[in-house]
Amino acid sequence: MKRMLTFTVAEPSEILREGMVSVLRKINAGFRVFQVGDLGQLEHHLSLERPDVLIVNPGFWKGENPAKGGNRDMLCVALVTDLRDEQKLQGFDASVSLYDDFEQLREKLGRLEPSPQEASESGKTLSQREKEIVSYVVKGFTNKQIADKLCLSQHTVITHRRNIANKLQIHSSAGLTIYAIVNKLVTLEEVK
Amino acid sequence: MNTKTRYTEDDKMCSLVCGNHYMLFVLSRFGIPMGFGDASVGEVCRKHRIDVPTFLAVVNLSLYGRLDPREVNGLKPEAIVRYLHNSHEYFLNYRLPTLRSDLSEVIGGKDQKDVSVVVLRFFDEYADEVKKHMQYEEKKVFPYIRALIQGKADSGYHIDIFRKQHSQIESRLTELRDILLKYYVGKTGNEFNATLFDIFTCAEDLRQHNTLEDVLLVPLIEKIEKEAAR
Repeated sequence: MKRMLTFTVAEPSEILREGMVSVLRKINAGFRVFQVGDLGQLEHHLSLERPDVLIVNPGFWKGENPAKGGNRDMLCVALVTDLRDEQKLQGFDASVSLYDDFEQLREKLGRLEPSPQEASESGKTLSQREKEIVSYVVKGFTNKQIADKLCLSQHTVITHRRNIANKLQIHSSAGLTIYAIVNKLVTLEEVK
Repeated sequence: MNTKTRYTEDDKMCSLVCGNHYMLFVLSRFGIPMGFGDASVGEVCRKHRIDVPTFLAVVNLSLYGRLDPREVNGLKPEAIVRYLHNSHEYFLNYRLPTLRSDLSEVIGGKDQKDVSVVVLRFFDEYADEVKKHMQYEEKKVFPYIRALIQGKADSGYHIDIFRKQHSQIESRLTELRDILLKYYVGKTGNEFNATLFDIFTCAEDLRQHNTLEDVLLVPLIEKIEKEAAR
């Protein structure tokens, strides 16, 4: 299942904060939303909860680049309440305005969702089992043969292969062969 | 930074190229030599007998990635076909062979021979794919268009057939690029980086080439087919 995004809305004004929260809930009732009213507590909160998205007023958030509280993957969205703040948006990943209508808000915030394919797999290293499967694939074994060798169902082999493709972002067997040779999973003689 | 939205025939050719050096490819495929001084786009095109709106459509589409469908009206299909043909020549006879020989030189030091073999194998498969893709256009699509313009198209073929089966062409090259970026562990250096840089450029160039076929050529030919059917 797709993991739901978590948000932190950091805004001293109760009206704005609650308003933002209710917009988020309307966009997707499954979002987890934290509220921080006292911005002095924000750093502490971020290091504790590590939300995916921080929504914060650029007028209150000090510094050129929004400090990200040790969570490098966190996205920062500016909540623009004053048009003069538009110049302060450098360093933010996106911005929403007090004057955006619901569709605009949904569009902007919806874009922050990671696509399911990249959600968690991309960039991770292969497990031992996956490496084994890569070596069989580049040696030219079929899914059925791999399944027999490793005592797995074909379905499981296919799932492994899909995960491998997602992790490495390599979709062709010629590409997988380069990966396998570079990482010494196979020798050149074996893939001929 | 270049903030211009559209180039027109009154712009200087020199500022067009300086604003985006990718335009060097476009110029060479239209057969425009350098040394145009301060002449405008329109002047240079007319001097070399190139249809100005067609040139501008190619330029603006390449730069901004989109085209108002109305802009297709009145463009010269024969000029576009010639342009695409020149691009094919460039990719098949110059760019891809050069990339291959660069790759064979920069990959695989003493203990990397194996890597070199599989990288070149990947590249050869890819180059073969590109060749097939382009030869189909040369042998089937372009002759059909030339005949259509002369009013004697063979009734068995339609540009729609091409549109439906026209696939993207650069994705396996970007895959190779990413594999080298993420997983290559051998010796790298200036030559390696230069080759990688060329792969980036070539992939982007191929992507634009395909866009031109999809967004410029196909709608234009569809329009001519409709007029011919009347």
